Amino acid sequence: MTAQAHVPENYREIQRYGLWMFIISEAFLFAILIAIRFIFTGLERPEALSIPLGLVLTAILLSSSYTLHRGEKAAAAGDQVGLRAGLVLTIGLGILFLVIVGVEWSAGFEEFPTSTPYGSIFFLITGAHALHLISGLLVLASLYLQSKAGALDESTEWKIEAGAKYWHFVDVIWLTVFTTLYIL
Amino acid sequence: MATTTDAPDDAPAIGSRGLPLAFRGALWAGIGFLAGALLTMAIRSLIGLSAMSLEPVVVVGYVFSLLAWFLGVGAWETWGKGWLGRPTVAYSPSGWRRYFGFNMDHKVIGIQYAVFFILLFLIAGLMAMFMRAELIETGRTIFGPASYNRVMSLHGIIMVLVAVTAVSGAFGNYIMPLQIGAKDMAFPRLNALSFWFWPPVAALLIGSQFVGGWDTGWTGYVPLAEVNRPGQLFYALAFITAGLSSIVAAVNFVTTAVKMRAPGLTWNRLPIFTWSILFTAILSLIFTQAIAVALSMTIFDRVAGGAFFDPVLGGIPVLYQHIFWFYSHPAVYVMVLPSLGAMLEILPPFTRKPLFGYKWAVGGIIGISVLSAVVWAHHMYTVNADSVSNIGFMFTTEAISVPTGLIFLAAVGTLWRGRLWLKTPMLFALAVIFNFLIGGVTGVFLSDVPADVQLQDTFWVVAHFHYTIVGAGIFGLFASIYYWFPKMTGRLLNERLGKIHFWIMFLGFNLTFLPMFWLGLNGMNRRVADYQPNLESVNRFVSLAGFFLGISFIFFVWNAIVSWRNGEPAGDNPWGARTLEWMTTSPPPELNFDGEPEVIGDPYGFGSEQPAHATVTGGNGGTA
Repeated sequence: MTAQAHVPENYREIQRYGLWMFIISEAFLFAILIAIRFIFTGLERPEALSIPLGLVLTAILLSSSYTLHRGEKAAAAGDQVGLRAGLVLTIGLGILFLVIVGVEWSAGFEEFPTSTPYGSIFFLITGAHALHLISGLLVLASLYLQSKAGALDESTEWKIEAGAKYWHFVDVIWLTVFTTLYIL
Repeated sequence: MATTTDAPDDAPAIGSRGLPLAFRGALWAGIGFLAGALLTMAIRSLIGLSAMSLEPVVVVGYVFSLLAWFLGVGAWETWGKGWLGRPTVAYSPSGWRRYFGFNMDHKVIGIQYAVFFILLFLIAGLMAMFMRAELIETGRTIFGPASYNRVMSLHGIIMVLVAVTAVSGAFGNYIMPLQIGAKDMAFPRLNALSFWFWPPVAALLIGSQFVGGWDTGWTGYVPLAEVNRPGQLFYALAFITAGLSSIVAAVNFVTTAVKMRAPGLTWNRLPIFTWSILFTAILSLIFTQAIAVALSMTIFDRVAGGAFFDPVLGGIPVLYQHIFWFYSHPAVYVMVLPSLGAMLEILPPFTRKPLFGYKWAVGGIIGISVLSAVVWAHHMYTVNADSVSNIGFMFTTEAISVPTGLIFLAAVGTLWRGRLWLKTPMLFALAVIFNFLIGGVTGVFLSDVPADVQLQDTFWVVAHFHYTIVGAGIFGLFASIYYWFPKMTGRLLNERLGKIHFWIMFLGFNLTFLPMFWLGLNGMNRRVADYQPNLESVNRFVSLAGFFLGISFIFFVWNAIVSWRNGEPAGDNPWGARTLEWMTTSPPPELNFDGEPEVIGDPYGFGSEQPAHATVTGGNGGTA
């Protein structure tokens, strides 16, 4: 295949549309999971679930969206160093999030193990979210490496936009997961 | 997700010599499996669990091996290097090698899908022959009840995957971009990815037989699926993998059909086959997630000791059926809509008449897609104690006959007073109408709650869904093959062998499955290797008819091989059709059209003063 020979003029619009289709599909995944949570355990949730910890997790992810947004803005202004700073901060917050989830899981295995209905749905939903978060982290790490190698410029700004949109999507999913698992 | 490589044209290409990349993919997959398995064992022994536990090791090992497989088959050089900021390399070998690596050309991928799924179809068809051999007389014949259900389950899941994927994978990929005048799919890399998911699916299903197999049928109902041998886990992993492929492909199909149409190709000029692919993709995009959830819950219960479907722990087994059918009923329309679209696409050129009621047919496709979301529990009438919701699902299910009727209206209206040109593709298209009528009418009995309570799990159900899925889906697959093979290979299939194939398949199919309605009414259960002695003579007839049906595919395979090598040259437009795929060479050049296509009229304006459907300007092409 010859390079660049058949990229349509409106390709950015096509890419954006495709990403939204993927996000819609993923949203259905979490919609089904959340519906199962209510079918399974109604509005009951175990006392052991720590709402303050959940709020800390939420705050971490919201800040990570902000740092990524700053990085994206920096890249748009041609500042690759600013982009990398934003990426490093975001990746750091993402890893911190996973560590705290790990702490919460090890407590959860004692209080509401997988062999209870709430435990099953809790670990399935937070596990599915963590897998999405890990894939988001891999995308951000790849953006960092590409920026470091000088492979990102105006013609590839879509890669940053796509990575950021996906990360924000994983964030929004966390907000719904937090609401349904911790609050309701 | 960009379409092209950043490499200069003289960059080293991969896969042009030596072993095909698929072999390297298999090797890397093996290494990936070992890495994942050892990692799981290490973590399990660290946290104080037994290291040697088959199912967790298999799950993590499989995830690693799947990723390694993609990289090994060519995604590493063509895609993965870019993730590290290094230049990527083109994959552009010529000849047979281009089919055995991470090729992004939609025309190559279409042929990969076609050949791969015909092979799976033949393998699973052979299993059906063995099942009919078991049922040729009462009592144990060749393998007895346990093996019978294992073979039945494997036959079921492979055929379901073939029916879900074959037409949209092969012809959605090859033909749809041509029909809309696009130079490729929107996301060529995702397109290649969606195909290379399938060899691992096949490997898992075959591998499942080496760890004891599984006997739940293709539906994998709990609680049996939770206590079964490890083969059940392989089934779940294979089905989830297939679903991932469907989702990736669906993103691509929807984006391509919505965003990549040639200038002038407005919605009311869009060829009907493209309409059917678009709505098939929308169904896959939304509902496939449900099957991923249902099977993930089964795996969670098996591997992590979950409570989802174990009533002792507070789980709800019936929930599995709800989630499963929430995907799997729309999936039934994923199976037949592309074939119905292909049938409607084939009728106009072979009657030399416009497609009757084009907008009504599109409305039928949309109506079926919308209603398919609200009928799933009609598979569960005998499960639901709650008769009120059964009545609701009876109503929505019977309502589906209205949009289906619109598609029949378009088909019969197009045939009405037409001068039929009875070439093989047309014979198959007519068979789709005939078979799907029987399949649809017998479905009305099943949609009716009191009748279904009697017919549930009998051979009536077997006959009904074979009439819809084989009678419409698979006959539509062969209609598409005979219609578009000349475009894909540049050669016509042999007409005499094609007609022999058609008549044996059509008669064999009806002789096999019509008597099954009678067997079902007389109380013969499905998924049981034996039956009452008074049904023996009819079963013997059905088995012999089934073997007759099986023979037809020998003629097809022979025809395909011989014609691909030495068939009569097809020319650009052997059927005198008007849609855009016929306005380029057979097979098309790398970028599909020798110029810029522009749509100026109706795709099916036969026999009128209307202008052509499209023109291709700028190259050497003209108006067709």
